[in-house]
Amino acid sequence: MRHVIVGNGMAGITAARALGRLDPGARITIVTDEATPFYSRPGLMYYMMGYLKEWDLRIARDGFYRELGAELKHDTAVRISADDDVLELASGERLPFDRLLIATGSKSRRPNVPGADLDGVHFMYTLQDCKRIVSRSRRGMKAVILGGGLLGSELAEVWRHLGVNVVQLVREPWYFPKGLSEPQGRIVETETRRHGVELHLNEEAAEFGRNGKVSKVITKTGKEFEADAVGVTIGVEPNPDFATASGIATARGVLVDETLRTSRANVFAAGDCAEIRDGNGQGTYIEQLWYSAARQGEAVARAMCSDVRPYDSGIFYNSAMFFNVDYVAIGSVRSPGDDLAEETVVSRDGRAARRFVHRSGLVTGITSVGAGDNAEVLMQMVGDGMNLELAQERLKGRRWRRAR
Amino acid sequence: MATRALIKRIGYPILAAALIYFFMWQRERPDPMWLGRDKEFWYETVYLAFVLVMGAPVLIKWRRSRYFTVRTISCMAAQLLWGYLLIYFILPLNWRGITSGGQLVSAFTAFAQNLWPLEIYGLAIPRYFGFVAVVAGWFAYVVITSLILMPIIALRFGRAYCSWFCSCGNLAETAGDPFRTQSPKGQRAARFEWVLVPLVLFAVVATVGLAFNIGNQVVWQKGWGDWIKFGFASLAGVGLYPVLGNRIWCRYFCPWAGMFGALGKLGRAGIAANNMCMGCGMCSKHCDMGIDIRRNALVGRTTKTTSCIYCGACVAICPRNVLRVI
Repeated sequence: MRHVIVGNGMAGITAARALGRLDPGARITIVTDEATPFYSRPGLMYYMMGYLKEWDLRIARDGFYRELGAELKHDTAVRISADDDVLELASGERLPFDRLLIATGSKSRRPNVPGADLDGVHFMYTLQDCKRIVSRSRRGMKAVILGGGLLGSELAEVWRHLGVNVVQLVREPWYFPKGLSEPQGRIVETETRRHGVELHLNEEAAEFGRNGKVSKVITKTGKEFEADAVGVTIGVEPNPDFATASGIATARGVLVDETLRTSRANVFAAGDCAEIRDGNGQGTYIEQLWYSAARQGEAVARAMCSDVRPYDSGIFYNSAMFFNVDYVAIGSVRSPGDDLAEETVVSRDGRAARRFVHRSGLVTGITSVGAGDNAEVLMQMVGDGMNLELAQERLKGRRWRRAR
Repeated sequence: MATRALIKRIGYPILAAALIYFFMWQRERPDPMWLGRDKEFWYETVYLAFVLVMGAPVLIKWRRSRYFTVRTISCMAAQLLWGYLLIYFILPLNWRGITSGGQLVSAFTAFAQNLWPLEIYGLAIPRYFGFVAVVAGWFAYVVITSLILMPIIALRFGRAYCSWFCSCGNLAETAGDPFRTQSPKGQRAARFEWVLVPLVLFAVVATVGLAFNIGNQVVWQKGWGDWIKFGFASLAGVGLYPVLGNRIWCRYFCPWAGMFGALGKLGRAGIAANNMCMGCGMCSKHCDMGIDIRRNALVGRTTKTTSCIYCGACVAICPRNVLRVI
């Protein structure tokens, strides 16, 4: 079969690898408009800090695509032709396919603030974005970061590393409430401030001041912060543009059923761009993580080879670093629903905290901050639905003995 | 960062200058003495000083990794005990007394630590001195460690010896630590490792030649002592730290590595990965042997190579705790 994959990210590459395994002899073509072969976005932070060179980021090297059995085409996918199964490219080439995968990923969310297009307002998504941020950074200049998530923390670390004075504005009452409980957020805030970031909570940008380029950020409470550069890290949203142009049903992302099939029978979507209808037909959900992209890529390859099974998103997993504080989240981390309860245990020295989300005493999620926990151990606990007290007992080390 | 810069900018140039000085001094005939000690003693003293002094900032930099810390301490302790105190102070031997000076001195001082075929005189000494009790002891020691013990260890732990005990490794893992990212990466650099095969063959031939007095003895002695050990191990090995990384000798030229790396690959040792890799590439960047660990880790595969020395840098640097030494 002829498989065409639009998008050269984790979902697309994982799907290509799985397709090569499931459908030997298939012709796989990957279409991308990014100039760089498959590289690691999570590694971009280390690139910006100078630990990695551009070549080091590249996962695709030394005959990577040959080993994958896929052909890489640097071109822009315009749309799928309405009448037959042909992908139209910007160069005018027409690429016939039997199955097509949309893995166009996501794009940076733009703030609904006047002046968001000004020169000096940076987003952080592609290698090009990151290059621009580094080339515009000067020791001693002033920068404002909007948003306090994982990405915001990364940008703050990068800018501090480059000697930039950083102000970080976080809309929420504590750091990253989507992923952290309040005591955990406080630990991250302390760490952020310890690294010289001027952190303001409950602050949101209302306007950008300008003089040819961005010059200051004015918040909704009326505070003004001078800014030579602004970094916007308020999250990402799916990039369904290609699907929309092809006449495929989209909402926030590319709408797919449980088997990751779009409204067109031989077109599939996976990764950040896919908006998946959940099994009971209730709502939709979007997973925008490196790990979920890999998982969906694997699943969609099966579906493309007509092995139809509903996609199972598995146990949620994410991990990151807030400066030197590690963060691991397993299972349900979002604010608990009606039958879920949670409790946060803080270590004796106050520098680590674990949040246990549980349903009547059985653990359904653990978020660990600063504890250096082994993700596999936590994964086991959540997977088994371990008894809450038992789980806490197991995780207790010397520094936790008189916790709480 | 400050300590790293200190090693790089000040420590390393002093080290390089000192080593070159000693090598030049070593080549003077007759052997010069200083404070009643011969050149070998002072060379080993300087070597040890660098391992200990430059090991301290390495311990600070990598303090978050227990494996790395224990291993670095092992390097420093091995150099101190095995490579220095044992041969000069603990064993009551007058080294100059039993050797005739020249080439063989280095063989004796290094026996305690360097194994055949890293040091080819080990198996050839009876020919020079007959089976005097002391020499017989050393001969037995070399045979047992090199031909029996080390293969067993290599089967289970791969080339961990290189980063835990070996004297070349002790310097590479302390004074050479800031240069580990410089190692040549990619497939072509990896293919060049095949140069080890002719080197191992040369080591075998030279050992046989020396032990049984076959062929031109000067070629075996000079070829090994001057060209390979002095040229590759010292001048290229240490001298090119800033250009080609701290393991250039260990990776491409060390015959011990060539033999036992292959053995290690047969065993169970490796760098295991769970399925949480996100491909940032810090592991591959920090591998001083230039192994592309990420390529395996990204698909959850265990990295098994002939060149891995189990230094643990990839494990320690991984921001997601994906890797594990097994």
